[in-house]
Amino acid sequence: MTALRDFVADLMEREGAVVETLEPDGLAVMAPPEVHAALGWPELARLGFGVDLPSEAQRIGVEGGWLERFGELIADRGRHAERQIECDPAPILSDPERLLDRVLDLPNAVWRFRGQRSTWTRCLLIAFRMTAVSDEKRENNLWIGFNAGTGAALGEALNRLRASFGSHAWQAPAPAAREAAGPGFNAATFEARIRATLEVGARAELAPFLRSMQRRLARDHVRLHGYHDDLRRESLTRLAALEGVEGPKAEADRRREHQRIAAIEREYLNKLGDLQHKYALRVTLDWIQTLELFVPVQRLEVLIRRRKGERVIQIDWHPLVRLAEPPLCEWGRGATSTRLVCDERLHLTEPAGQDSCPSCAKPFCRACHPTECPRCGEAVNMAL
Amino acid sequence: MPHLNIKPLVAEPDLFADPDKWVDTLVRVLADSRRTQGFLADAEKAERACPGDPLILLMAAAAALLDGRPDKAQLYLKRYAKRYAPTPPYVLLLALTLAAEKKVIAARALLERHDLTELRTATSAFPGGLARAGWLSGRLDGIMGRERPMRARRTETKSARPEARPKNPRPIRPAAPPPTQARPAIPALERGEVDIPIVFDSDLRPLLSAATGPVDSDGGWFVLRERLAHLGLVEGFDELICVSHLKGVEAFWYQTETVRKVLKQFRGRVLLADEVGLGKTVEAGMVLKEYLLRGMVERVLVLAPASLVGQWREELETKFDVPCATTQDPLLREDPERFWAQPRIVASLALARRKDHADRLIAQSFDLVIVDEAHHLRDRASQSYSLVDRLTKRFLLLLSATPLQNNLIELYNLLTLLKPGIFKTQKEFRAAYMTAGKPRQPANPERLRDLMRDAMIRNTRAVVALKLPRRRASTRYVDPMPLEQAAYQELAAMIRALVSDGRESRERLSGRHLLTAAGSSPAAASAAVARFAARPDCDPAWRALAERWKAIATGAKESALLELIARNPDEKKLVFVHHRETLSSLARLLAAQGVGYARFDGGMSGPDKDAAVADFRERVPVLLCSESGGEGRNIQFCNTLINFDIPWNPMAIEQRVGRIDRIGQSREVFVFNLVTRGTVEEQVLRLLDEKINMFELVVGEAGAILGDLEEERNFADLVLDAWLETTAAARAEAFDALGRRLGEAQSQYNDAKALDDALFGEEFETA
Repeated sequence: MTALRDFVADLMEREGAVVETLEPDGLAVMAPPEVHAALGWPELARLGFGVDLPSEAQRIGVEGGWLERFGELIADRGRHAERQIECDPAPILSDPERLLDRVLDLPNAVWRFRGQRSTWTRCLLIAFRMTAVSDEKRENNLWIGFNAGTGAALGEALNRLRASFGSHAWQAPAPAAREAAGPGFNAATFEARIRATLEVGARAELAPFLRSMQRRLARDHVRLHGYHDDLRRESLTRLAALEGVEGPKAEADRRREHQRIAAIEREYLNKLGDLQHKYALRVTLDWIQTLELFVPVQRLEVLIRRRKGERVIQIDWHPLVRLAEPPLCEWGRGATSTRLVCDERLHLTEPAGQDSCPSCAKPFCRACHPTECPRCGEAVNMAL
Repeated sequence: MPHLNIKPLVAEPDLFADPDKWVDTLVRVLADSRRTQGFLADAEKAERACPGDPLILLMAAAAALLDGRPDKAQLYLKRYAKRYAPTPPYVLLLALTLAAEKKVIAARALLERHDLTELRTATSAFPGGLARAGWLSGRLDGIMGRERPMRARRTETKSARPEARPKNPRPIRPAAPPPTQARPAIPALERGEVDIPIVFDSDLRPLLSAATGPVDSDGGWFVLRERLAHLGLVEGFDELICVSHLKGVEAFWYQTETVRKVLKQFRGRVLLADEVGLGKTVEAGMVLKEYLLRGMVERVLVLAPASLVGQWREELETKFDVPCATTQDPLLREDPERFWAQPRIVASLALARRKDHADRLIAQSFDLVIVDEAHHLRDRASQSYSLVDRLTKRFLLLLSATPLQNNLIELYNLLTLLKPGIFKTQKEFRAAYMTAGKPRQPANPERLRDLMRDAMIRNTRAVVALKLPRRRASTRYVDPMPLEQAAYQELAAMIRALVSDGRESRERLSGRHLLTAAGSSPAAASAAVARFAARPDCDPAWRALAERWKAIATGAKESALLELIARNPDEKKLVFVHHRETLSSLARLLAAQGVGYARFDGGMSGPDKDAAVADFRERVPVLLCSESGGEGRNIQFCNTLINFDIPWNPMAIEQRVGRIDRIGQSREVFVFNLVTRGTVEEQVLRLLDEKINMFELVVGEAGAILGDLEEERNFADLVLDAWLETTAAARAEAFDALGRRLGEAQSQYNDAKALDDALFGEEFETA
């Protein structure tokens, strides 16, 4: 398996080993003592990765615990990196208002373009291992990204930026770029941004599977209800037959049928609980690594007016991927270009971020009150 | 049988009294809760007094059943059936009688068909009255295989109490409306609310603390960690390696999910029964590629209908970069041993099952076997089934949109191939899952589906929310020019003479090639006839005919083509041509008319093909292409296709349409066919268009429809057979017969599709 072989070769070279290729699909590795001891290899190891092994080679595969051993060897190295990407200077946008028209939709506020400048920004690209377990298990790597310069999520630009890495050599950020990009988020903002984005990002990733789980759940629910409804109907039919019949036997039968009906209803609710438990989804998100990426951008300054309040936000256009970021979204995923602006602090949120409270019907800004409704204390639901 | 001498409750009525009085008598007898036997004697008297009265016949049958005399019950029911139409009471009594005669499966089917399986509905139809509801309930549970609680059984034996008087002891006459209608509706059980609770568990402390930790400045460790995380997904098949290796094909989420499940959950043995148009071939190709990339598979055999062999070869090569040998290769005839020893083969199932080839295949072992249109394996006694069953294989993918055609046993056979023993023996399967006398109706659908879930995936268009583009097809029938018409007629006559000459097998192929060339263009006909005439033993008349074709500068279809191209000039147009000479002559024609075009044919190199497609996308309005046109390349920016000539193989037509009419095409698709009147192509198109609405079908359905028709000989051969009939009347009759066969094949396909939809529904989706 070429991907694994190449990974092992690069890892060993990074650890100071001498590596040679073997045919077919193999490696000869002479690793430093601490490395070959950690991996349980001899000083000169012959490793095979394909279906056919080189002579006297040890088989290495994705199964068999090898990835765990390599993970232990890497330990915490590579958790956090900084990188600068060079590209042609960002051109002055000839029609920035047209661009803003496309990326910014403010139904309850107005915006004015204030100006543009070329600068550097610091983007945070963070990877998590997402493990979703219900009646089956799914694993994936989830990337989320922010522009620390504007505070906005990177949206589609995130994937495009990652895809563009291959064509650029790794370059440490130059002091000028670092200075132009500014200090980035403080710890509190950083944590708040991640918490607000991570869950909705995971939900978006799981959306097709959630839809299909909802469908299966609905189907199972119909069956469950039908079965208990039939049982209950039978009892009610028997009860109807006893109508007008008197005597202790009939009374006992009636009592029994009533008890049976109550038991059926109880059992239905219990089974419903079981069904919910079967489909209950637990999503674990484990941090893998963070990349601080320094890229040139064309920064647009936009004035936002809502009633008597004013606020200036920045929207960056990335020349590297020729794409503008979505506008800042201080609550919600911000997948679309529509933002509502709150009255109090002019927060920009998804439309759902200004919805009425489902309990007391008071509209409120979830960015101002991220945990609960200010009037009735109803907890804020993050399920977008 | 013990006789209980219980006195009648009322005096016996006169023999010739009103039947209603006898009915009242029987009602009281049956309602007498002290009695458990001895009903039949009274019923016989009533029947003798009023022979043929419908209600008395039914009550007598009920009395006979209560007395444990199903033979007598059968007698009364036969008398009833001779005179009256079946009613629910009759059906119920008949089912009870069958059950008493140990024909439980038939009894169950009867009750299910008439919706009498529940006590509620059965009681209202039972002429024995409510006092016998306990007895009836026991019999119903027995027939339906329902467990009864002990308490219910005890109640039944104690039910003969004087106070348990029936509320409505008199049974309903057959003509009366069902009593359930008169009952007040029973309120349904209140539906509870249920949703999927989602809990997110994330510990951000390591992330937050690392923000101030050491930074990897050269990225080496960062990249290694990233690659390790990626390999971690590969480990459990959560990440598919093949996706990044696909060429010119976008894998949709349900396809990647299907592939993941095939690898992870089904461990490479599955029936892929997606609805037509969802890309089963792509799914199978992805599974194959994934196994190859992981080094889990080396030797691969794809078995497909003969007409799909070329398509499989092309798709595997262009989309998955898996070149395969096919049974169309000359090596098969030259050295069959060497041919079958190759590691990757796409073979015609009909050819592979021939004894000489089958023996060679069985002697080898394969890592992966894919069977397309796997419903051809439905018959356990067939050579096809036997071949696949005997092949040594690790992974097995069966592909069919309609796995079940006529009989549940077909499903048993297919799934047993995949998972031997899944349904135990055929006898046990019949007893457990089939309804006697109704081979398509499962007796226990839920359990059957539960078992099938271990061996089958079926995505539906509804579930994956797939909307296929609308398609509009129209055919321009063009009158040939006089010279062209005369040359074609002469060619047809000479081919008929040639084939009837006794050298049939060799000349049929030549004849077919000459006719398709003549149907394509005068240029192609001229070249084909000239090549034929150059054969050493050829009749000089062929050389004269070649000259006649050469003298025809252009055909009638060319001007129709120019007209179509000129129409709606902003739209890109893909022009399909089978013959290379036609392609060249059209290129010259377009150049002369000043119409920009790009050319794409199988002989071009990969970069040249890419350049042609890029040219077509960005610059010129027309892409002239051969049969391989656009293979493995995304040309969905174009939505108009012109079939300048018509292949005789419907799958080839479908393949052409599939180049632009596929998942991802967002616009309406237009297909134009150009046909010269009086040619074979005219007949082909009429057959396909009129009999199976070829151009209305979802891409892939033609193969499914023609599958059975082509079991022995392909459609093009059947067309040639009809065309080679000597007289016009015989030709017309032969084409009519072929049309009828097509119609039958389509109705069989529709039937099977409806059956599969009903049985499988949306129960086997991948996600």
